[in-house]
Amino acid sequence: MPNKSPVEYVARRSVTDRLRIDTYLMRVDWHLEGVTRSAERKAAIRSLREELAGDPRHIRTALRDLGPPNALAARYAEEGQRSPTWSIGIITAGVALLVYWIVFLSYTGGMLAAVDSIAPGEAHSTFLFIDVMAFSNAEGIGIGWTSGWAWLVVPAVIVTIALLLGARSWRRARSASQPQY
Amino acid sequence: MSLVLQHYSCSITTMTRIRSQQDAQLVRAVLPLLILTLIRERESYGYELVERLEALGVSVSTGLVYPVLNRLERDHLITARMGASNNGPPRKYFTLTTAGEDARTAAIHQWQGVSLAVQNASNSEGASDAE
Repeated sequence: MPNKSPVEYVARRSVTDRLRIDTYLMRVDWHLEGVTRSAERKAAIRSLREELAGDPRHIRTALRDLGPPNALAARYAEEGQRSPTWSIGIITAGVALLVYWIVFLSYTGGMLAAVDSIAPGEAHSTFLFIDVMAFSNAEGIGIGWTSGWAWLVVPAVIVTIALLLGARSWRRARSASQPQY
Repeated sequence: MSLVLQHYSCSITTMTRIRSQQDAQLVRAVLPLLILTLIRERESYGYELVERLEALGVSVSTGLVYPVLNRLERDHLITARMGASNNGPPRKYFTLTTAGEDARTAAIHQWQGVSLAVQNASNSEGASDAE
């Protein structure tokens, strides 16, 4: 629904406003990838940018009135057009890898803290098929893990699954199986 | 008693939701025709169209109007030009094309056809109620 607050006219967009517009349009663009063709997508983003530049209201009000990026992108959708959103897939994969690393380092950090509390000592464990060790003695403390197949394969599998899910990759198979007229 | 009231309140909420969904669908269906008509009266920019629609009693957001404008421009029913404004950056003004004029005429005929059908259905319903 449109914002009913009185319109306060804005003469010029500040750097922050332009940054907000860019961020919003980037998110719309990610979602448009799945519902429009490339040329249409570029035209829609260009048109939205021009409209936002000419919108006399404060940028917060103007963006709120446009609605969430995914909902706006859905309104630009072409009938029957559903393709994978690879941009969102890449971001999802990146986030999944980051989460994997944080959990992995927290696990090894926890092991190190436990070993350090009973020093001198050494502990061995397995985290998602990867052998992890932590030690603490008079010479120093440290963590380590083996560089076997799991070291590369486990993150690769996580990244691939996140990419395929984030990109809604099943849309490619579905659009390929639909009859062509 | 409270169970009955709760059920009644739930029914009203559902009815309201259905009603608002129907309203939104109706507005979306008629929006291209309204926009073509307003642009025919005088060239306008996106937000100005939202204000003009509000003045007509049609409550819409820019999130509804901009995709329609984009589609109309893509189909060459309207053209755009960048024009200077007194109190801000340049704005994108839309004008109706000849194809847009034809599309508007066709849409009006369609709308009148639907309106007539609804009117006929309502009249026959009223007649059967009276019997």
